[in-house]
Amino acid sequence: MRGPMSFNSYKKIIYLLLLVLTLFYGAGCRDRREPDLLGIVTVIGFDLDPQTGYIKMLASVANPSSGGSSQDQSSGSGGGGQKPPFWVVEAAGRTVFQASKNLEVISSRELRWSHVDVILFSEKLARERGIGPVLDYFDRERQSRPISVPLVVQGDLKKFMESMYPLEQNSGTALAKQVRSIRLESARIPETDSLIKVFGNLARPGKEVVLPLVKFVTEGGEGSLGTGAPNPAKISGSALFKGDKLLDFFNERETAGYLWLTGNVDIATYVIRCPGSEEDFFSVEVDQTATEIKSLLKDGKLRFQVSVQAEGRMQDFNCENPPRSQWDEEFIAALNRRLATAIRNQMEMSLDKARQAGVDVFGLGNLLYRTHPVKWKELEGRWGEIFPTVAVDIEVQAIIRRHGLVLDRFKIN
Amino acid sequence: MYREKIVHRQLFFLLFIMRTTIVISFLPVLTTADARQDAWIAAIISFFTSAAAVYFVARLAVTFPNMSIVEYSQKLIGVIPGKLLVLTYLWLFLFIAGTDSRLYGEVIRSGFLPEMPMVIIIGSMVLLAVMVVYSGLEPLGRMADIIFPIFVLMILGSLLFPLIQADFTNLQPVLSRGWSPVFLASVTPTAIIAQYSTLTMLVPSLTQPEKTMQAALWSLFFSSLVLVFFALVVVAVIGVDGGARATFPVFKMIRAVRISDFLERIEVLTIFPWGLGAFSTFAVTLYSGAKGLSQVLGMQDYRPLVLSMGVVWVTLALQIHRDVFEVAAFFSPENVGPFIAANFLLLPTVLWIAYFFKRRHLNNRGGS
Repeated sequence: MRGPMSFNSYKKIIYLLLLVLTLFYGAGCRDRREPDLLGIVTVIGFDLDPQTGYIKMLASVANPSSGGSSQDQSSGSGGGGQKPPFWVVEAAGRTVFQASKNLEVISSRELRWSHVDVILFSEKLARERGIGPVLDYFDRERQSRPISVPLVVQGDLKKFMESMYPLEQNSGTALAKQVRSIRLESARIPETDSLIKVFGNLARPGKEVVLPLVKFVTEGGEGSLGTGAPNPAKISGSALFKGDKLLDFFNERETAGYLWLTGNVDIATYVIRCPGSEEDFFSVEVDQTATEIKSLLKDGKLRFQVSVQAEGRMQDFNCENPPRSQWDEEFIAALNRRLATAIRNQMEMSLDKARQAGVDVFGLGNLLYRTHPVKWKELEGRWGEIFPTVAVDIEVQAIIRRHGLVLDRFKIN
Repeated sequence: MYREKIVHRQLFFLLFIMRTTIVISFLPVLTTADARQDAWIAAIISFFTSAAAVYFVARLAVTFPNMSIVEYSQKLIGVIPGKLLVLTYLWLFLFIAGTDSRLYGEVIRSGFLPEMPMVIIIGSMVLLAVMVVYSGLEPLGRMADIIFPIFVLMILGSLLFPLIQADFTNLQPVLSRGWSPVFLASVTPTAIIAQYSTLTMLVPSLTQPEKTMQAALWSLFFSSLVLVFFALVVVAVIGVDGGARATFPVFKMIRAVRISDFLERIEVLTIFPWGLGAFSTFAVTLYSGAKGLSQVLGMQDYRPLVLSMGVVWVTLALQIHRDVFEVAAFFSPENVGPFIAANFLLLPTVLWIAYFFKRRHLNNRGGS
């Protein structure tokens, strides 16, 4: 009556086999790329090889064997010495991909590019070759992320990448943290803090790219980090590009002006001479900002109108107290005017520099394209010539809203 | 014979998931033509053109609520011509399944597992679809009930998180280059409506066939809404150029999102619903294809066909396009437009004409 094996028992066997199959999921990677075979790259630097014209690629690979260093030191044998927290390796190639492949033959581990925090461009590469060939690689490559921070480095790239950071284990996190904290606390570097913004700005009509600038501070001591060891990177100012080629630099103040003109200021600090005294200063931190730019076309004449509103609070006040110890409106208005002038000066400096270089980093052309597409079509080809002469009216309104926990400065009797 | 039933809610879920998955996979309004920042307008247009096409096909299906297209085409134009013509639809089911699974395979291959053989990626998905179709239509409907909320939540997530990085000035100027690129860009999303051909096989299994139209049009409406929003957000986040050049724009956008130091790399929000959606599409088209073929062949049950159809389908998915360039070329409006028009609209057009003649004929006979 009953068959040797019912349908149900077949089913059971099949399920059992399927259960065995699930084992393969838990075991990890299909092709056995275990973490100890991988080298995690946190910083990539690009330079130009002066002799061959090849692209030089430098990778800073995190070194896990130095991880948790303090415990290792105390408990370890001490022999052989501490390994440095990261390792910098370089190779060159005609294309970025070739360079990255050439890195493989001189590395004991397979390099992984998915955790790259920072991408560095040497000044030489950015000036002579342009950053375009590098950008396409990052746009296309599956492992890299467009959230990496791009920076232009002034100074020897290799030495810069080799230097250690007093507070951080590896250079990638150090630089990324530094960029983020500077962005949060001041208006000293441009807002392009991720690759995706670079791609966006490159593709916008009538807008050129600006990248944050790193200055290599010192070529610090070998290996050992004393308590006074400098942080190798000073990140301030910006690099101006025309297309994908570096053309000029903005200093800190010009960068602040650029941020005002593009409406990207979050916090900015101003140190201003006191009314009535040229030696004393008061400082204001601007924390509320608004920028509005309009493109006006009147009788075929083009002009831009920038109006900026800034609100801030007093952080230092080393001026003499106003005579009546009464902060009358006139006195406050004088302070406000001084703040407005300071902001306005920065914007004008920045505009002048960009006009000299002939690069529309503010995206005025882009604004024209967005609001008057027909006019833009007409001017597009000549925008490089028009931009330096186009009229830009700047109007700044600044208000010091708060003065901190005290009003008057303390008295010394 | 017991006929498996699903409710129109489940039909709505299935159609919504199928269409949303494919329209956000490569965002055809942005990538297939030159609409650029006006892609969202193309998405709105595509809703109306798609709705017309859906109405055209579904109206006929509702007229014969207890028959699948295989059955009523035989009734309207005769057994042999009906069986022959309905093969275009069966081919369409297979083709949609093949192309969708190829797209799914391509995104996994180019985004995550560059060395994984395509046959494994597609094969494992198809095997899963075979299993669910073998279990029947009711489990398929219940599956839709379960995955729909997950799907919607994840889609919402991948729509909302990028907003913190959005720069809506990217959308200006609006319509600066006239309407023609916008109309051209709405062709491909309209052509993708061919997925709704599966409707003609599912109608007889509905508990309330008269609600088919409602389910179909609402699912179309909501998926078009999702498409409009993604067209807006993708352009706002990665720019016109970044979106238009991307193979998979939504995937590219989500890779560019960094919410905070701790919350980044949230691709799972896009890829997970994509997998669910691909799976639903596979299951529905496989069911429709197998059911249709069994009816053409006069078989009692479609189940014996399922596994072998799955094998044919994996092979087709691998062979149908040589490379990803060809996939992209296929979806350009001048290719996909006529292809779908021929395969998707030919049969219902013939059937509608036959239906009008037949109805007059029937009426005349009834009157005499």
